[in-house]
Amino acid sequence: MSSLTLPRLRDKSPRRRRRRRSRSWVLGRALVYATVLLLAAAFVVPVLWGFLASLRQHQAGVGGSIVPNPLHWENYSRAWSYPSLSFPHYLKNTVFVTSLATIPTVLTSAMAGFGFARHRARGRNLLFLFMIGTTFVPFAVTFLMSYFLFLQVHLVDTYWPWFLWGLSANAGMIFLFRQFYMNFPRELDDAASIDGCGRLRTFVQIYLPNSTSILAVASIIMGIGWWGDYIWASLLLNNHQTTLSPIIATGYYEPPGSNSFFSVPETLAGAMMYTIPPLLFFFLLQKKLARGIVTTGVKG
Amino acid sequence: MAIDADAGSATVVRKPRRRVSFRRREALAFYGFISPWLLGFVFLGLLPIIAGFLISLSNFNGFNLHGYTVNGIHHPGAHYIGFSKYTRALHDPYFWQSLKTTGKIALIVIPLGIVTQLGLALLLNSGIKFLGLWRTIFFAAFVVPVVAKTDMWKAVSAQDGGVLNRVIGFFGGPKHIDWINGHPTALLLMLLVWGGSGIGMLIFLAGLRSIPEELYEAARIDGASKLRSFWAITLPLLTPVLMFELVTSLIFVSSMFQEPLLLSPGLQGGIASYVPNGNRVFNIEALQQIGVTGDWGYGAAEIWIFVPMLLFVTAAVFYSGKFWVYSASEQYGRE
Amino acid sequence: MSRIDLQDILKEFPNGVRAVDGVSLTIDDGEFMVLVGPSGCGKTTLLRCIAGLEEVTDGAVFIGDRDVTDVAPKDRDIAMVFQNYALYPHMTVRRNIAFGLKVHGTPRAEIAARVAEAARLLGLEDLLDRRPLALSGGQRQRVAMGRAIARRPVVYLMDEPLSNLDAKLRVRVRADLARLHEQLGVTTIYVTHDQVEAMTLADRAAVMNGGQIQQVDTPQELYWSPVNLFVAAFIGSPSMNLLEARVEGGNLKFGGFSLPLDELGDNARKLPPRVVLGIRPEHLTELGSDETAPWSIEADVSVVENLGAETLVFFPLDVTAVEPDELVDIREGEEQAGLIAADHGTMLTARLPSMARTATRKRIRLALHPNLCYFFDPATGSCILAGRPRSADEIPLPVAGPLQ
Repeated sequence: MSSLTLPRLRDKSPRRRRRRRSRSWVLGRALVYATVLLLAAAFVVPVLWGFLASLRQHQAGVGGSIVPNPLHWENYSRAWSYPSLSFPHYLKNTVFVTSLATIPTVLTSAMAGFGFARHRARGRNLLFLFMIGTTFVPFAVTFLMSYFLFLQVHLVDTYWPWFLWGLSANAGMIFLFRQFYMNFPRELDDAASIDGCGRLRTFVQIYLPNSTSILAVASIIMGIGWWGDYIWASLLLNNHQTTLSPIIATGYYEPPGSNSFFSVPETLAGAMMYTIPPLLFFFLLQKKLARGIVTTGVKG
Repeated sequence: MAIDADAGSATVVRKPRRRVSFRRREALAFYGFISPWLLGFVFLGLLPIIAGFLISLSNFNGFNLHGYTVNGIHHPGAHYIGFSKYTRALHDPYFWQSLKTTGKIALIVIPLGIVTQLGLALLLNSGIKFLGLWRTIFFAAFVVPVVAKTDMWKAVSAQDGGVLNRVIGFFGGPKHIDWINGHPTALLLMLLVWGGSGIGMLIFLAGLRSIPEELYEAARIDGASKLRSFWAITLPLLTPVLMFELVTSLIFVSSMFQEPLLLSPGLQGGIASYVPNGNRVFNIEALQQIGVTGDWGYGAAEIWIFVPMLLFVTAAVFYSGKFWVYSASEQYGRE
Repeated sequence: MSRIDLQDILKEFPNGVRAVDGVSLTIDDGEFMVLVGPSGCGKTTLLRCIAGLEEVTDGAVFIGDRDVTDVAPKDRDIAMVFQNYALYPHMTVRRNIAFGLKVHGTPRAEIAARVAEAARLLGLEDLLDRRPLALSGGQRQRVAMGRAIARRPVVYLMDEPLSNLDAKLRVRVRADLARLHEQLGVTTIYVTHDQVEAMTLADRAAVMNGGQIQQVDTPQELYWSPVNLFVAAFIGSPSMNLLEARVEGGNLKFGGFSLPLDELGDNARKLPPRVVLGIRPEHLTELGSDETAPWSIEADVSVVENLGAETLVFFPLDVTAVEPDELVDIREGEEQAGLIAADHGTMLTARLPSMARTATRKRIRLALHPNLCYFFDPATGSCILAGRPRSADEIPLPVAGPLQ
């Protein structure tokens, strides 16, 4: 009596199959991983080294053992609560100034992006080209003249310039938002229109709530940029108002009673603490950043 | 052939046409939404440019906007002096030197940067594990604020015991290289590539991801090696992104000035810091003419000679794109 | 009073294209009016003009007795259901439905009541707290309808709301739409390219082409009394067979056949020497070997499609087909086997009952019914004589309903 069962196929376990990979493939993989590890190490080293150097003895250089022994953690508390310069104070200033510039920028850039993406008007294309053009003007070209103008209107020693920069958006961010909004289904505009929304309401209640990923991207880029700003803080703000950037740059951590005004370890400790917030901010939102860039598709 | 289907309905008298145009409303909304940017563009963007140009034609020195009297000597206010600053600049060896320095740095850092960014992106895109981790590490350098970057690299490049010298010494080279004073340009380049590649890497990564997998599969069936696929598929399809990165890098290099300043040995003067010759890029030269020497007109004139040069170079790069940038629309255009 | 009046609407785009070219139409209170036609005929543009989403270049739109031509969409007291639903992705179903009401300033209690009512009518009670992304296509479509219903507008505007649903769902939702219209009685203007939807849903339908209305009539009238070639070929699926014929010596001649014209009686006098003959596939009857009919033709069977409920037979005749140019796209969509230029002559279609004998035959004899044939003027395309059965007995039976 013949049975209808088919001959059983030999069970090829996955493990067995993998071993058949070619030699050159394995070699290639190893090479890739080795390169990545090497490069990653190279990229981490400066930060790591800076961190290690911050734990060295006050006024010491970076000579001696690689890992300092003992680890002078007190450099950090010294940098934090240095008597004549309070880190918390400057930290507060930095946070304030960064937010002052970033938050309005993100919003006005979204607005402008929305305007460019969804409205036809005479002169729109020309203005858009102008906007792109502004990104070509080297910063150094205009910044001293801007300083001059701020001087004339007595806005030096105030925080107003940051607010004004905040309000005037950012060409790159506008470009980002425009790309993003051009891909919104037009029907949403129509539905909102029929539901009774004017353009402003449509923007605030329909577009903005659906822009979280791009808002995050813009916030990261602008926030990190402003946090690290050195030149404007040093030019426009006095010692009391200024941000962490100039403080750390000029190595204000003068150890008491010394004649050297540059103590590397404490300064580096300050620099480390100064670096943590943007790094943290970035770690928390990096997934959104990468996705945001993909969504808007930089294709030139 | 239209059929009038409402025969019999009461005719309604038509009101004369009064166009409250949708078009007008739309344009109004447009200008409303871009108004913050537009105002900022005019006052914070255009005005400084115009001011700069005007200043370049005057003998403004930072103080003499209006006339003033000191010690009984009356100094008149700044006035128009024509293009004399420009001619002076064109004969100034320091001016040309700074341009050369900028050019030299650009020629090294731009290709180096692009190769690094592309290389990193390719590595990350080759299907390795822990992608997020590597991506974070490579991008983190970009996130570090400028001031901290330079401090870290000062420690790295320290003459006595900096890790850079240690590594070189380990491989048999000299152990006490003075980077800051002796090889400032090399130091600057290392810092720029390290700190600037993160964003470019992400952009190249996005570009790589957008290449359809099927192309590589078809190539494999056709028998192409990995290297061949790279040259024939990856590179050509990446040319738009390449162009974008090229232009962005160009703009970045032409704007850069904080890094050389912050890397100077001793930073007590801010803008007035001493910058070793190797790093005296154009921007530093112009800046210090204004900030140190006080000759605003001269610095502005230098800038206004530089800008058209830069625009020319950028335009040339753009134009060259016609020959090497793949444009998706071309493929179907001629059929 | 929710009558809609369109007076001589012209919509011209900046590139010179006249999407709507002189359309005048009155839609009665409570009527379900369907705007139907091929892609690009201007039906969607016209709808958008009524909605106020497009600005009319010339002409007037009246809703009720108000001239709303210059009025913004939100003040026209309309609601719209979009082809892609246009639900706000970041809002729950409840908020989606309530949104328009909120913007118009409806009091909270009223909003809640209307949302509940719409939900009940459409079976959305369990979905109220979900987001659009978590809904199926059919559910999203119902939410879009709920949004329109809750607004209690004077007129509903619908832009191909069923075209993104799969075939079976489409049939069900079509029935739901009809039921809703029965219940609510709100004037509705419905745009579609699918003539089946037009025929089943419309109180009256406006067949559009090239920015103009070809004919506005009840579905019955559109079927039996098309005003021109375009309407005749557009309504009915599979499309009407159209071919050139000559009138000679009291006979209708085409493809080697000669049919006596006295079957038409007095009407035969209206026919010009050259004429376009239209025969609907469902009006052809198969003749057995021992049967005869006053008008019969014979041909080889090319393709037989057995659809279960009916059979489609494709057969070639040595005649010249007539194609209203604009219809070429539609025909290709119907996948008729090589209607354009087969290896000889033209391929015609017959729609026969399920167990047609042709399934096994190679040659077929078909009877035409003189009273069910259409005749058109070849120069103008207008209809000279439309098929009109003298009684229901004359219509061939049984044939299943319109093809899905």
